[in-house]
Amino acid sequence: MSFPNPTPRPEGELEQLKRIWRPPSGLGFLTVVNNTYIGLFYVGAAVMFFVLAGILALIMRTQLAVPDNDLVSDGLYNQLFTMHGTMMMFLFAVPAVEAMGVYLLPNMLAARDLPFPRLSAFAFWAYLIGGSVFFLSIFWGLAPDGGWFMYPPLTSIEYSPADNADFWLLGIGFIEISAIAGAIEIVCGVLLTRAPGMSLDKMPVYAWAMLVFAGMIIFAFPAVILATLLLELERAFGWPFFIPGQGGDPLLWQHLFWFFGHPEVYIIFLPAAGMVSMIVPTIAQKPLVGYRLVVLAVIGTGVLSFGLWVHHMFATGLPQLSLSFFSAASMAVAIPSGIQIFAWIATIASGKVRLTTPSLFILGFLFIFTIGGLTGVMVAMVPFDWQAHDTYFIVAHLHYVLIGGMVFPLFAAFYYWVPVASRRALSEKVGRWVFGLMFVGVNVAFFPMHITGLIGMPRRVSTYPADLGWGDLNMVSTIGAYLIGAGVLLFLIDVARNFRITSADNAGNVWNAPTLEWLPNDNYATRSIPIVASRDPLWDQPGLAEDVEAGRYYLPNAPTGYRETIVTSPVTAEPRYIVQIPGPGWFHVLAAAFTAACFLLLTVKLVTPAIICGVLAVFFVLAWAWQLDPGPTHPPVDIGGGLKLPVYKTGSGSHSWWATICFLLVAGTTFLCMIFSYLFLWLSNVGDWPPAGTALPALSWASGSAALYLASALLAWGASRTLAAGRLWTSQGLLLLGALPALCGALGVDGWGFWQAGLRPQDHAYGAAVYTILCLTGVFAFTLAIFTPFLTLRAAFGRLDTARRASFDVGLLLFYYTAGQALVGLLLTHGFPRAVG
Amino acid sequence: MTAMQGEDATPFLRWIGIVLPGFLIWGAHFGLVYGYVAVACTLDAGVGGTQAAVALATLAALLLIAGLFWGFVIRPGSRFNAGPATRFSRRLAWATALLSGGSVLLTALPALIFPGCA
Repeated sequence: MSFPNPTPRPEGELEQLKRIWRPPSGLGFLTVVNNTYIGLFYVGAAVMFFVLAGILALIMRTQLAVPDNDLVSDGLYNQLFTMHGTMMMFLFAVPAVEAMGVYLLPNMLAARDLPFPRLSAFAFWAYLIGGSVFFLSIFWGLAPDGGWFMYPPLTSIEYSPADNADFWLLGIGFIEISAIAGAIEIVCGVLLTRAPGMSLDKMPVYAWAMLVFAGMIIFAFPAVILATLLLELERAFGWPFFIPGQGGDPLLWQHLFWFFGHPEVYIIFLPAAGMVSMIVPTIAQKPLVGYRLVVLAVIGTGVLSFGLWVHHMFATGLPQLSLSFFSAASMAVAIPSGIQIFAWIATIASGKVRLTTPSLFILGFLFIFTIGGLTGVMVAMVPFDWQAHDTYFIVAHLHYVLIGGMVFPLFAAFYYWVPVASRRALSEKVGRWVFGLMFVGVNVAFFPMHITGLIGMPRRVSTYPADLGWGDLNMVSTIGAYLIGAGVLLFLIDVARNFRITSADNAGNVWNAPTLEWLPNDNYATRSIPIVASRDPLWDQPGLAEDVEAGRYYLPNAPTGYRETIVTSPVTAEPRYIVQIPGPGWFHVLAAAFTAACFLLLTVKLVTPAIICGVLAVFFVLAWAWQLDPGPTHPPVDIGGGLKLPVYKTGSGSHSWWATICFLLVAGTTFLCMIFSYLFLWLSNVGDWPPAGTALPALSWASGSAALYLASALLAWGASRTLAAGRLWTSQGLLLLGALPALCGALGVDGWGFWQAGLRPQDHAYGAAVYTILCLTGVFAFTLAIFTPFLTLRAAFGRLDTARRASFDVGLLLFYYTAGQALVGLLLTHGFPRAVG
Repeated sequence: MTAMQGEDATPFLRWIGIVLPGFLIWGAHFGLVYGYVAVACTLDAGVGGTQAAVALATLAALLLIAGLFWGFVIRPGSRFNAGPATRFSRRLAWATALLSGGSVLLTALPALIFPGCA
């Protein structure tokens, strides 16, 4: 077989690779961006929050072990269950699977790193700082106490006047930004940095799962971001979205929250299922049965999960037919979930399984998750759900689903993939004890809760009287909870004894696994980037590991002298260009720290320091962005086999274009959710929209505003054309002195029109909705008001020209999107009330 | 192996457009029938026609899935065959059409059983 590059490789080549990819030392280590470090930090932080949230659970179980217990007060108990749920969902489950993706994906796809490593690092630091402060709030009695789903009116300013709810709204809202940043990174990583030859049909199922996972975050998280924004606007400024007396509706929160909340379950499950699809073939030593059907199931589960949100609202009085749609969709999603389960069972049955610790956790997952799935079908039946609603039956169901569907696969993954990151594998002997304690513990803790719930014990009660007969079952559940705790403690001891982080001399392919993360690696990932010819390359391509390590495949060096990897086409994975990847730096770390500080200071109403931190955060983001978009600094480079690739790309083929599109999808989904909110509030106020005594501004305001928005987009287009024609300063003039003022003017005209008509956001949900739609466009106008002068500055310093225009294209997309969103907003706020009035 | 220096996002968007429209139609159908029932029940208007409206929307969704599937996947010389098609993509398109068609039917079935706004 002929290889792209000859061996032996030139002297000094390997040393150059090592030097370029070496992480900084000393205090500078905080600026590290390599996925092999950030991924591990991320996983470590997620495990830390898992342990902390678990400790909160043990305190609750101790409280509930016997009737009439007074170990913790009612108020503290409220904080405990709110923090436990919130931390497990937002600080453990999503970040843990995202973290595993950041660590595993580049290795599995044979990329040197993800395309935006500083974005991953930013997401990690924002999450760690924000999450830690959020957790610490419990020691000051400031932790949120309205349940992990924070339903108003309980969480409205009237019933929760203290800052506790704000910690949830601002803290979690901020952490969601981190999750979205990670998701954008993963989409770009999976689609653009796969090894040559790894076309979509050869992509590991885990990569498929992470792609769908990231897509789901992009489309699901905006709903909860908007919900938290609306509730915070109501609490801070009195905009009455959820107050019925002023046209609001508390059910709007439930719709928005669960439009995020149900897909969230699958956001957690799908990556875990992806891990299982990687581990099962290895433990069976057979290829995965039904690869195509499993891919279909992953995509299908992701899509169908968006049609289930109302099944958390069966008891809210919606029309029977509406409930039935969601009941039917809840059962439909069982089909793709079932496909995956049968594929795994068939793979296990086709091979000879060794009962290692990962195998045990997989078998435990199949058992526990299937029970959770079965009770899920039960609660998908509306009449049964009405009986079980808000009882311990639901607590049992959701823990079987989440622990079975996510925690067990994650522990299987820990035991399975630790040899990639550590000099030693974890102990098999200890691992069996960990599995045994956790498996028995989960069933002892949660199975009795089905019965406790069916005999009437409601959720979220801090104690119960002895004569109700719930004491014995609760004691059993508490014993089970401590068994789980013992299992996790043993796992931590195992990690402390055996996990020794390394980038060069890992334990190796101890399971004889077939995928690329098991290739020999170092800080630079693999020595050369292989050509992939099958789904199980290490099984089907003999000698691959040796050939890769010898540097016989693509890019065995660093031809530009910087960190770099190959960008391949999204469908067929053919090499397209070389992307220069940013290295360590302080700006993203400082940006994360000050962004976290800004949000957290707002929580405790320290507005001036919060604004200062916000300004600093923006400054450091711009400083970070200043170093990006290097331009065509280097002629095309030979990566082997005579293949010469460019080192810079603009337009829709570039990774920055893909990332911007992902971001705009987030923004567009947020705006769609706002349109839904507007129409939902209209349905709650039919015949009174706008409310009596409120006049609509004359249509001339709307048409004037629309003309300016269109002018803004046209001027931006003109700026792009003149830049392409080489007239840099004409282009900058059109953008800075034309498009930007037109955009801001349009927003001002529209806002002033409503204001002079007498509409105030505090008076009624109608006004609140109208001004929020304006604000959502205002956020983009504000962003462009910062970004456009930034582009001009880049032009002045020679960092923007006809060829070097990736950052300009980002601004262009933002202009187009803002104008489009604003025009839809105009149509809704001016046209709809006239149409229905 | 050749470098595709001029390639943009089109092949991937085309791939999405061929493999996923069944699910997108399911989503549109789901949103439409749910939204229609919610509005009709709130306004006390058109309640009698709810079942007929859902049936009509369902028929339209199924025809659309079948039509797109025929146009992109089965019809000789379709863009699917000319593009970056592989056997994998073709089978995936088959399966997504089947699953989304079944989901559209399953979602709509209750409309034949339950009165609209009870």
